[in-house]
Amino acid sequence: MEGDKLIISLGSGRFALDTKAVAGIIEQEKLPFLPGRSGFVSGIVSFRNEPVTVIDLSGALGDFTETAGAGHKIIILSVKGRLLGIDIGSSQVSFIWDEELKGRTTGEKGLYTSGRIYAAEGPVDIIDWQALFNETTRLLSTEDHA
Amino acid sequence: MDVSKYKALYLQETGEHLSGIETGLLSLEQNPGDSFVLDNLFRHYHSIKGMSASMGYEPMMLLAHAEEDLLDKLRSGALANSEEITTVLLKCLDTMKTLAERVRADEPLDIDVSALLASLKAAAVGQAARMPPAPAAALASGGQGLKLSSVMKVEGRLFDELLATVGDLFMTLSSFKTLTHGSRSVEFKNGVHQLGKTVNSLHDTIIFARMLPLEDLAAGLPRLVRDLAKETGKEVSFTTEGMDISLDRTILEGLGSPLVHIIRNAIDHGIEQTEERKKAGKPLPAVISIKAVTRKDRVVIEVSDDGRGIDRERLKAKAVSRGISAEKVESMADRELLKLICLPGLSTAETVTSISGRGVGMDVVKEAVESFGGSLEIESKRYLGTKIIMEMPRTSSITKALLVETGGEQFLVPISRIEKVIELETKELETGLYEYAGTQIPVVSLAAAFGIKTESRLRRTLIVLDIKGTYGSAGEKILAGLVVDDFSDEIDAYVKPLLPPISKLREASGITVLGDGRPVFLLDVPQIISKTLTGRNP
Amino acid sequence: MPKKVLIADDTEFFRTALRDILLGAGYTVVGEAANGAEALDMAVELKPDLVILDVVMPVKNGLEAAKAISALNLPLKIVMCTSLGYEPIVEEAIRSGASGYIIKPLSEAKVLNTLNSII
Repeated sequence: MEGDKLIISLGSGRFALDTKAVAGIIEQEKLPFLPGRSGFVSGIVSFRNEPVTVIDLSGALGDFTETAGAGHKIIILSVKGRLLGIDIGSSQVSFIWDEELKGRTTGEKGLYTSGRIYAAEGPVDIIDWQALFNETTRLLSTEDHA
Repeated sequence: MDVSKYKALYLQETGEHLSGIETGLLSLEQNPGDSFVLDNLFRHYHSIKGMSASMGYEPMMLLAHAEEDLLDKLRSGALANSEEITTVLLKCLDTMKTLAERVRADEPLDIDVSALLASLKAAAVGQAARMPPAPAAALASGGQGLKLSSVMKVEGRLFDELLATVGDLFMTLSSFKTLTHGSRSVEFKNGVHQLGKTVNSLHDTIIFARMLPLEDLAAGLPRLVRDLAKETGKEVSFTTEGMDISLDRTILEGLGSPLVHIIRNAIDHGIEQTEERKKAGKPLPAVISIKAVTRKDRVVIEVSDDGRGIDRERLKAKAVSRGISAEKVESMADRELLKLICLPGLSTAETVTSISGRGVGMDVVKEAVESFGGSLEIESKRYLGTKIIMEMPRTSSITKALLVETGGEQFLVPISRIEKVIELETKELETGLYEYAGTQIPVVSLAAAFGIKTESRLRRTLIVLDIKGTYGSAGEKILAGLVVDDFSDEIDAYVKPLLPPISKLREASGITVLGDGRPVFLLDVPQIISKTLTGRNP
Repeated sequence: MPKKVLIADDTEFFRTALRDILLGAGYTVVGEAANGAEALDMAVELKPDLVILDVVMPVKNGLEAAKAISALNLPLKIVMCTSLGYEPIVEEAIRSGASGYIIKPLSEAKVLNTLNSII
């Protein structure tokens, strides 16, 4: 729970990612097709010559309203050699530094969130990227979509 | 003069000369007076002498010098060649290999070569050579597997990193390319074009740096055959063909012990004793041959012997004694029956020998070949011989593939599966069947299989594919057609395995990132087609 | 004007060593041949001022190449290069038109002294 956080402002709220897990942010007009894509899995991109599966963050968090075709801003997460791209549409990102988080974090969990930060501007949910990754893997296993 | 910077070059060229010497000495055994071979041998020794003297590698220089003198006498006819001389030279060769290894490892060259020098000198004045024990033989004959020349001692990881760096270069390049569209500077455009060509060639170089010729592996085989033949008292000659074909180093290395196993089995169990061959009216010496040919982006390696072949009846009996039902064994096609020799511990030979034990290793051979994505076939004619056929990919990562497009999305189709690419009017493809080479083949639209929207168009591309399960196994092809919008280039794709979360995708067998950063899947065509067809006819 | 040199040796090892020595001393290496026949072709084509010929080479040896090149009367000098034990061949090459010789193992001093003495 500690460490600097990247904050994403979506229509449905604000979400935080560990900056340590963020390998980069890329912008792309169109996502190449991923065979067998379903649920919130939306496509595939490459980052530093490696393929990265992309999920739609709003969709994963339950908001399936179509985002107007304003391109894709994709946050590339890299943890222990595993890569996942989080598509945040055209949402804005900002940061909260570690010092600002002291005493403001709770362990309140959601389906894909592992805690909550009570920041000055309102609450921010911390994304449980491992849970997202596991669900992505499940969605892309043939047994589940055949 | 600082000679240390020439060490790598020294090792490389000395290694080539040592292989040349090995080949030459073995061919002298067949034809002891061959002046062409004697001339070449002389030059090999001469070159090693000169280089070793310059580098200050004294024991190597002394050996090469004495050998050069001996060869000079042989090639000028002042001395007649004999089996003893060849044997001394082979002993010396082992020591020279050891010396070269020590040079490589920066170890002291404190090997006493005086006994070898004495026998070379004795041989040069026509005295029977005394055979000193070779100190630390480089190749334990008939012992371990084969050794590759190790000019390239680079960890595979380094190549992966190099490739990743080139990938970054490609990305940078593509942003430059975008900039050139808005630029009027011809110099800039030319510069970016040139940069692109350079990055491409760097990429190719890295990929092909991993390739080594089969020769590197096969160079040790004549010696193996010679030693095994001597040990069993059989007369065997050895031929090779197509050894210039190169394979990824990892695959080549993986072929080493299968080849040794196959050759051991052939000499030990396949090839008959001289008397038996004479009685049967078979030619002497017996022949073991290795032949390699490329088939699309794969290589087929056949190891044949003209020995006694596999005894089916005995094989059946063994299989039954190991718990396979007699009924099943009797109903097996010959091809399947022969594959039984790949079952662990199943051998047709009655005697256990020191060389190959109980028909050792056909199970190991099969496993090794399959672990590289290869396949194994066995052909055998009773009393005439056995042929082991291995079909292997030539690279672990590069796949020749056709770039296809459908609904604006790009995919790769492996060339090894493609029979034909046909451009047709869309209406010819509406029935789901297409007449190809006299038969109706099922046709599947990639767009429909993937649920990709495509614009209506008059013409589309039909790719006729062989979707048979195991690549390369004998038997009929199974043809089917895949419809895409269009196709473009055939590329050498550096295919990466699918990692989580996409590791369980069945529609694709790998993924590659194109030069411009686009990720493209290598389609698992048999999966896509059979899945769609199953859905069509439940 | 730097002198143009053609190197002929069947080992890359000696070609590289010679090239390094020559380049270090301000010579231009216009070509490298791996056998006597190539050396002959390149001597005609590249018009070097100097040809360094190894004695033991495949296809056409250094002596044969030296004789053939001399016979063409090109404006160039020939230097033989070999290891000990080939003195008779070197002498024959010098009778046929070679201007000097270098005995291997190579050293910078040996090579440059020989070349300086004949150019």
